[in-house]
Order: sequence, then structure tokens, then C-alpha cells
Amino acid sequence: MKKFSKNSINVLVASFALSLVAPIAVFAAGPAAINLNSAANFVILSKTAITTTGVTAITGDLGISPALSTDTSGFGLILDGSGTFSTSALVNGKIYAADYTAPTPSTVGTAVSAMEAAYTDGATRTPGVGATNLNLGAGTLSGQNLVPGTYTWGSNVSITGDITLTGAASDTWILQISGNLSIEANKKIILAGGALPQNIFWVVAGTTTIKPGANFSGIILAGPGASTIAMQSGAILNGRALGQTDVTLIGNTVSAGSATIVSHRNRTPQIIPLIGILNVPTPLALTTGAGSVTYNYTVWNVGGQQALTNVTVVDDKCYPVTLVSGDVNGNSKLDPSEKWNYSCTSKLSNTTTNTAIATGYSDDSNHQAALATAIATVVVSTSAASTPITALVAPILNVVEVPNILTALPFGGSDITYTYTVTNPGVVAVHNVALTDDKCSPTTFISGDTNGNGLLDINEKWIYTCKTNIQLSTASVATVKGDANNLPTLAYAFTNVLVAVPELPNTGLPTDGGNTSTAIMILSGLLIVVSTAFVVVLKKKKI
Amino acid sequence: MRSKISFTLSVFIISIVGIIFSAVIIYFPTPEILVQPVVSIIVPQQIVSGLPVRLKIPKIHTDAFIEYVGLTTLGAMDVPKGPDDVAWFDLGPRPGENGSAVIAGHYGWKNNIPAVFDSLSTLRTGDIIYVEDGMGSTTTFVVRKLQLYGEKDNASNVFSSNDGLAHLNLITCEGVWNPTKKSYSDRLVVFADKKIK
Repeated sequence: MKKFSKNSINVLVASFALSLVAPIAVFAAGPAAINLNSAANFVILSKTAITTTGVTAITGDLGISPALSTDTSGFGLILDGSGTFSTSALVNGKIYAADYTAPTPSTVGTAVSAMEAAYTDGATRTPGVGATNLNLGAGTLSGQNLVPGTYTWGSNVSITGDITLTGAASDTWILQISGNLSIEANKKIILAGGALPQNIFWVVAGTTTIKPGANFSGIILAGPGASTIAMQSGAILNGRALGQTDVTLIGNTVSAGSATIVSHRNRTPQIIPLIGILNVPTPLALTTGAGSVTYNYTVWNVGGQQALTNVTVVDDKCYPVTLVSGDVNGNSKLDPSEKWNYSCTSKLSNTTTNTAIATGYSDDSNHQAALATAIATVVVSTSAASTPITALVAPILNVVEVPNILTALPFGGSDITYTYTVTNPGVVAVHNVALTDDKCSPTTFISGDTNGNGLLDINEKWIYTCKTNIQLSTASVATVKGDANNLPTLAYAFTNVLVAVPELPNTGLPTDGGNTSTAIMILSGLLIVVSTAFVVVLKKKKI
Repeated sequence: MRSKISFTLSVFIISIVGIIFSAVIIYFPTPEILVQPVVSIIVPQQIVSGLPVRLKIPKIHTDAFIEYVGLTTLGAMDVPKGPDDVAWFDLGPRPGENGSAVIAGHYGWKNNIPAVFDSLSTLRTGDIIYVEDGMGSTTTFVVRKLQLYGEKDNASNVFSSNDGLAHLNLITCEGVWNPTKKSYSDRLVVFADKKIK
């Protein structure tokens, strides 16, 4: 009797234990996650250098130690007044470096140590075994579906086609690579079933290369050797780049991921295109009455982030305006390095002010418009031919306005600093130059009056700035006015600052909803085990 | 003998408790919080005074807890975890503050489990919506209009306004379920304005 009771108690205790363990087994497959400790506060960490070119969009904090803030490049760091961190137009977060004010050196140093420990933890986990978990695909991956677990390669790993990681939100993957890791251009890591980038650990002893347009997910833990992490043009990382050597970026998107990712589509940040136009008439004055004037227009790509398409120039007083030269590569797009020259000839019998308008569009699916105008006055006079032309001509001004952030701001907006460059394309110095902006004040003169005479001379470039907070997409118009020879002149610059608008939420069936039928099956099974045990106990009690 | 029976009985009770406990874990709306407390990236803000906690719409018998969400990496507003809660977009203004506060709730759930905004489309102009905050004070909104959007339509007037007034916009899905995209074809937005006392 005693013996039987003991057995039944064992069964009951076992079923109790099972009932506790079962749900955990359902929700967390794969190895224990690698604890990043304070390294998890950063989306990019490096011990040596972090560089970017192009328009990179990073969400999260960057840290560099023991290298210094001077070992970053391309971010245009703006040191905070506290001296403990910098900000950058490219980073929706902060940048911490070992040469900043305390406690930053300690904080970022601790995070780097945590990153090293995390790499060591990952690299020393029990390696994967069997055909699926050891040297899968002989290091060439394409089309595989990786379930949660530890995967080990004693070679380089090259992802040549899309691969899928399928698992639940709490499942983990550790991928140990003793060589280099690369993902080919435009290939993707697809996360399915609720798998999250923060539970995917790429432990790479060699270099990591994410080629142009590729979409990579997971936390990259690079080893202590030659283990640079290079993100090439336009590649996307949903995760973290934790590198013990250099991290290089070229126009990338990096963020630590979110809890609702199922699969990814490429999302390039929206570009703000800017165009400029100069309008210089020849001659600037007709001193012997009516005559012919040729307007020469120069159009250029002020934003310079990407080519402008469908560029046109029209003039309200002259037709037709024809493209003379400048499309060097013949691609019909106004490339950042190009200056397109247009001209138009007209007969004038009276003093005439004309306005030329240049338009262009961003070379992407948004077709964001850019607009610029140039205004010039040609004086037609019958005064004595002996009057010097410089005493007759009208002044000309040109202004270009550039916001410090040339991609769409995140929802909610941010502070924006506009920089205005005012030039004088004419032949006479301009007096009483004054700049205003309908969406920002005050505009502040910074520099450019090189001879200090208070006049905008023909070779001077006057720089103004203005800072404001932008919360919604804003089109601003800068106006510069001046005069010379008792003739007024003005110029405008048009700039858009875009603020991203969230897409509407997907409030249908969620993709990570609980699997009810599985749960019911588990519960039923457990209930049967316990009931059976109870029946056994009752039977034995009767004996 | 008697003590043995009661012991067996108590073990039985313990195992039943174990099953109930496991059921709680399985059906808990956020199992990862119990199982793996470190994975959550979008950490709900601490509930302090003034932050919304409950949404009540008497007409459709809605009385829902308010979660806080931000953006997915794809740039869309995130959604509540389960069918019962609603989610406030915490990158925008709070309900009652000037601007457009946005709250989303699910429409339709697997196995025909009802979702919080199944009947949102039955709201009409003039219907009343209440939002309670953490201090127990309630802000009242009045429905102004209902509008359908495509899932990728520009939603700037849902998330932004600059008329200096306080708005509350409720979002759910509508239309045809696309099993491949795991999304409905449309989004229904209920625009409401803060009631001036």
C-alpha cells in the first residue's frame, strides 16, 4: 500500500512539474539568449571606428570606446551642452564616445566590455551538430528555413538567396561562424511566425558584409580579430551591429527592431530634393533702345543626394527655353555633379523683369518636387551712350535655402536649421541686403562680407542661418531683397521639410496571436495524465 | 491511512493548481513577459498621472484597457497585443491634449473570438467616447465623422492636426481579409473632438 501511494504521488508530482514546464517549452525554443547587458543600450558599438557616407538613418544610440569621437566620420556630430553625448542629423538617438565628459567614458566602456563578453559567450556555446546545424549548406545559404537552435559553421558563410528564420517571439537562434559572413545584394533574412531580431545572434569571428540593398536581421557580434562590419549602399539592418573593430555604413537604415516584425520590405528614407537656378541676361542693359537679349540660365542640384528627374525650365517673358549643355552622361537626369545650361533669346523694347522657374523631382517612388526661381531685370534705356553700363543696370540676387536634414523627419518632427546662401550673379554690388523666411525667424547673418563694406559684392557669398522646430511637413519661402542704381531686386528660395506620417495600423488578425488549438491540446493531455493518476490513487486506496 | 488519503488529495489539488497556472501562462496576453522578461523592446511607459488608461464607448459597450505603442520598423503604427485591449500611439499627443491622439483596436480575431472594435463602424456623429487617465479623471470626446482609408493611404490628417484643438481618432480594420498579406483591405477611422465643457 505504502509503495503504491508513493508511486502515485510520484506520478502526481511529475504531472505537476510537467504542467508547469509545458508552457515554457511551447514558448521558448532554441538556446538560452546571449545576455548583452549594457551593450543592449546601443544599436552600433565599435572599439575602433564608425563611419558613414550618404544618408544613413539610425534609430538608437551609438557608442565608441576606447577610440574617440574623432574616430567617427560622416555623422556631423553636434556635441551637447553637457559634453556627455553628441547628436547627428542621421541618428535618431545619441552618440557616446570615450573622450566625452564623465560618466560617458565609463558607460560606453562598460558596454564595450559587455559586448566582448557577449561575443565570448556566443562563440563558446555548444556547437550545433548534425546535417542541419553543423556546416549547413557548406556555408552557402539560400532558401533554407532555420528553426530555433544553435548553428555552427567552420567556414565562411555566404547568404546568396533569401533565408527564413521561423519561430515564436521568445525563440532564439545562435549562429556561430568561424570565417566571414556576407549577404548578397538585395537578399533578405525573413523572420516568420513572430521571430524577433533581438533573439537572433550572429557570432562572427571574421568580417561581416551586408551588400547593397540587402535586408539583414539580428544582432551581429563581431569577434576580436579582423572583424569589420560593413553595410554597403542602402542595406538595412534590423538589429544591432556590435563590432570590436570598424563599423562602416553607406546610406543605411539601422534600428533595433520591433516586436511586430514578420517579414521586411525595403523602406528607403524619403529624400528632400532641392534645385537651384541662376538667370543672367546678356546684355544686362540695352543702352540704345529696343534690342535682343539672351537669358542664360544655370540649373544645379542643390540637395545633391540623388539625381533629379523631369527637370524643366520655363520663363514668363521668353520662349522657348532650350537646354544647351550639361547633361554630361546623357541620362536625362540632373546628377549632383552636373550644371545644366539653358538659354532663351527675346526682343525687349521696355525695361523688363522676367522670372525663370526650374522644377525637378526626386529620383524615387515619391517624386517629391523641387522648385527654384530666378528673377532678373533688363534695363532698356535711350540715355546717352556715354553713361557707363554699371550705372544703368539692375542688380540681381540669388538665394539657396538648405535645411540641415535632407530626409523626412521622424513623426513628431525635430529642430531644423536652415542655411541660406545669398549670391550676386550681376555686375553691381547690392545695397541693403535683407533676408527673411516665412517659416523661421530671426534669420542671422553669419559670414561672407569679406571686405566689410556692407554691400553684397559680386564675388561674395553671404551665409545666413535660422533655427526652428518643425512638427509637420513645412514648405518655407526665403526672400532676399536689395537694391542698386535705385532699382530694387529680390530672389526667393523654396524648401520643403518633410515629417514622416505613420502608416495606419494593421488591426486585423495579429500575426503573433496565441495558438489556441495547441494550448487546448496540451491542457487536455495534462488533464488526462492527472485524471489517470488520480484514478490509480483511488483504486489503490480501495485495496 | 486517513492522513495518507488527505495527503494524496492535497497532491491532486496541487497538480490541478499547476494546470490552472499553466493555463494562465498560455492564455496570458503577453506570455513573453512571464517566460522571458528581457525581450520586450517597446517598453510601456510607467503609468503616471495624465496618461490614458481606459477607453469607454457606451454605445458599443466598449470598456478597454489602453496599451501604449509606437511604430513598427516598417513605419506603421503598432497594434495592441490581444483582441480585448486598445493601443494609444504614444509618439503623439495624449487624449485631451491639443493635436490628434490616436487609439487603435482590433477588428476580428481568430476562432471568432470577439475583438474590441468589431462594432466601431456603428458609431455615428454625436456619439460619446470617454478616456480615463491614471488619475481617474475622464475626458469626453464627441464623434465628428467616420472615414474609410486604404491600408497604405496617406494618414497625415489622422495623426496630425494644427487647429489648436484636441482630437481623438480611433482606428480599426474594415473590408476584406487578405490571408496572404494578413491584413484587411481598409482602415476605418472615427474622428472625434474633445467636448468643450
